[in-house]
Amino acid sequence: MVTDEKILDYIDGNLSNDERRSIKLLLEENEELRERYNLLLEVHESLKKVEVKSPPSNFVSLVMQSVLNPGAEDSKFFSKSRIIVLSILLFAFIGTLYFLAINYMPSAENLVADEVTIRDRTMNLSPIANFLSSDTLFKIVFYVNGFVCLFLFERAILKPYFMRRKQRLSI
Amino acid sequence: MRPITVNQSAADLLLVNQVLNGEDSSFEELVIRHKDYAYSIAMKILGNPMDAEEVAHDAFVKAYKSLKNFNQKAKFTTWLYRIVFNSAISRKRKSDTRINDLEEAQAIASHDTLPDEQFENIQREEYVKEAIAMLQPVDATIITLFYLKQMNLEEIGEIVSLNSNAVKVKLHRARKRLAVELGRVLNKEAVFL
Repeated sequence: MVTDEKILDYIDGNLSNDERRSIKLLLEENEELRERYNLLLEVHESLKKVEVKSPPSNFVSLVMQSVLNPGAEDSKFFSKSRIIVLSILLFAFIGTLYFLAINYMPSAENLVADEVTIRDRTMNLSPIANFLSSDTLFKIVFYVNGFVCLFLFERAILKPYFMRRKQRLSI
Repeated sequence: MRPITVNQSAADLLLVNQVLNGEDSSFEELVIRHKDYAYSIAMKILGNPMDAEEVAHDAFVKAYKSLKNFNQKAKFTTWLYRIVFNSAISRKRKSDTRINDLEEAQAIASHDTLPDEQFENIQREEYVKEAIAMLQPVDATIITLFYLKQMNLEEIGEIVSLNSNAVKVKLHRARKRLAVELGRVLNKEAVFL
């Protein structure tokens, strides 16, 4: 019984002269063996025809840019996972901003009434407690949140986009 | 096919030494010489041109950075392709989206009727290409290095961290698997004729 491994060794030319001769003889006599051989030979020939793939034409320039200018590696800072994390944070902060605006932003109608209530309520509080319960704290939180949103937007979307564009244009 | 010759290895070592002596431009020559095979290996493992490009790119940058650690008794290509292979495998583990099912390849390749013998042969070659893409990453790499780069089993073993016997067994198994699948396609065609 000639195994497929033996046939493949025959195809690869890894057999001794005697073994080659005996396989050749068997191939002429045995039709089932010849069929297996033809199939394996066909795979072998097809694999030989599989061509080498080439990367895009700017590949060498990009590699050399990374090698000669390690600063260009900064683009790795904006990897896919980092952008995803930053985007999630961005949405979280936008959500907080929206939540603050909806729930704590004083409306025009209630502004006067709110001011009276706040003044009455805070007349006897310490300056710190007074500050914490005032609109100033809300404004600080609101604007800081807004600033963080802009910062994250720049880091997650604008900077990666412009860096990639710059890289493409520089090639 | 382009077999590796001793001259090519010697030329690689010369370029490596030039880079180590501060001639960074020599590295460009190394990239030009080996980019296609590095990319092909990554492509065979990842099956995605963008990922393959990124992995090949990173492998060259990594190779440049650790060039001083390269043992010059070994071949540069063996060392470089091992970096590509390891990077591609770890990328593949991170985002394993490939379906390891040869029947998909069979479906892709056998969906058309075959009008004449010539077209039939092209279809079969296409089928084999698709089927290789569905092989396990290590098997696909072994096939690529064996057929495209004409590397010997020892060299391939160094790249994929297996001994030469294990490489031979895997190479045989992969080809047998392709032959079995090709046989199925041919049988199906025979039924329709």
